[in-house]
Amino acid sequence: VKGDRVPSDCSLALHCQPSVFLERDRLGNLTGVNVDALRVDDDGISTNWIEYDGGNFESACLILADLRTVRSSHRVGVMSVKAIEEIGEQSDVALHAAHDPITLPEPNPAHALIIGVTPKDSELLLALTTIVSLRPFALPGQ
Amino acid sequence: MSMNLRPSALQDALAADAILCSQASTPIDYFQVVLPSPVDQLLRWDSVIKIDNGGPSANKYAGHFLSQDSGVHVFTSQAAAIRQATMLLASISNPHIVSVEQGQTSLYELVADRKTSSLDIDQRASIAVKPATARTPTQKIARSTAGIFLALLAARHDSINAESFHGLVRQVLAILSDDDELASHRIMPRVESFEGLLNFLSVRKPTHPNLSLSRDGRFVASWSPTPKSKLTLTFKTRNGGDWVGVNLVDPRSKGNGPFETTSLKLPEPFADWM
Repeated sequence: VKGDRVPSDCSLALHCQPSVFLERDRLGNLTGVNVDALRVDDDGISTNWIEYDGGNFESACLILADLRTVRSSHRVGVMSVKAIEEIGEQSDVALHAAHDPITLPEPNPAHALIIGVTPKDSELLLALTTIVSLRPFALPGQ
Repeated sequence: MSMNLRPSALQDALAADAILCSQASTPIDYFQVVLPSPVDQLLRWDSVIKIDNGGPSANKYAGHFLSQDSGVHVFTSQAAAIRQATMLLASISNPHIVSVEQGQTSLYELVADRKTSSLDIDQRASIAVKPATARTPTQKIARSTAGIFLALLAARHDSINAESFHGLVRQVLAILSDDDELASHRIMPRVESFEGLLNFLSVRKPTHPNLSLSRDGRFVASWSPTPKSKLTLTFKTRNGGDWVGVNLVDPRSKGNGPFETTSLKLPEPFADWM
């Protein structure tokens, strides 16, 4: 139901794109994301609830790929809800994930928001980037 | 004016960097070598990046290059600079141009195109050079975004250490190689931001940072001494930008603010992370 908290033992998926938001080390290898990858607006950070309706990482990738163009350079950022909440507790901010199903323009029943952060919260956003685990898209045929 | 081409120096450089060259997934931009010659004489050429001298004149040439539309030209008499240039140019993505083995041909095209017939060119340079088939001297080359920033880097290579130079080459190629994606997201990498990054690396000589680009085209350097700590510097101008630091192990350790490269003094523990 819209507004319900996403359980702490669940994870969120973030389509990390464009690839310029991915951080590279001196060898060109991926190391993480910058704050712009978090897609934050005044509502919060737009993500997808991976375990929604029995889903898993592969199904989350399919949903994201259905919604947007996926390039080989793109990655899925996986964030633990528990880790998000811990960052909020450390910062005295009620940071949590909430179910936010979308019907338009494209249906996305697994959509979720990270609530409690705005574009101006530079330290909080940077803290959230440290818990993003990057994974390649798991799509059929790849 | 007399110019002596040194194809052997180029070939040596290519051999020395054969591994790196072979990693290039696409053909490269063309490559020229111009040898001992008064700098002023080089100004008659349309596009010059002088990479054997990182001084003020190099920036002048880089700026000159950026105003042109004819690709990357490297003029140098220094063997080390030739190697640097070879590595750079071997990585520039452009499907319409000649390979590095054919690169000297492009010099002849350029010379012919500029009608610099008074130049005394060492004809040994033509040995074993194949004609360029991918373009003619009159065709304009669409410069890639990565190529532009690699050219800026080449112009400043003397001012940063080797680790940072090579790191930036790889990072620029990794971050800026997809022009279609940059265009589709309307992201325009900013030259002044990149120059700010180069100034910072030159002046501060930090551990080489991770690198990315912000939504508004600014370069973002980051350091993460542990998985739960991170410092970022976003370069907004040639002289500074904004910093943000967090340390999840000690939540009291956090901060942000503007910085200037020449007077950057971050609080502990962030200063030690760079």
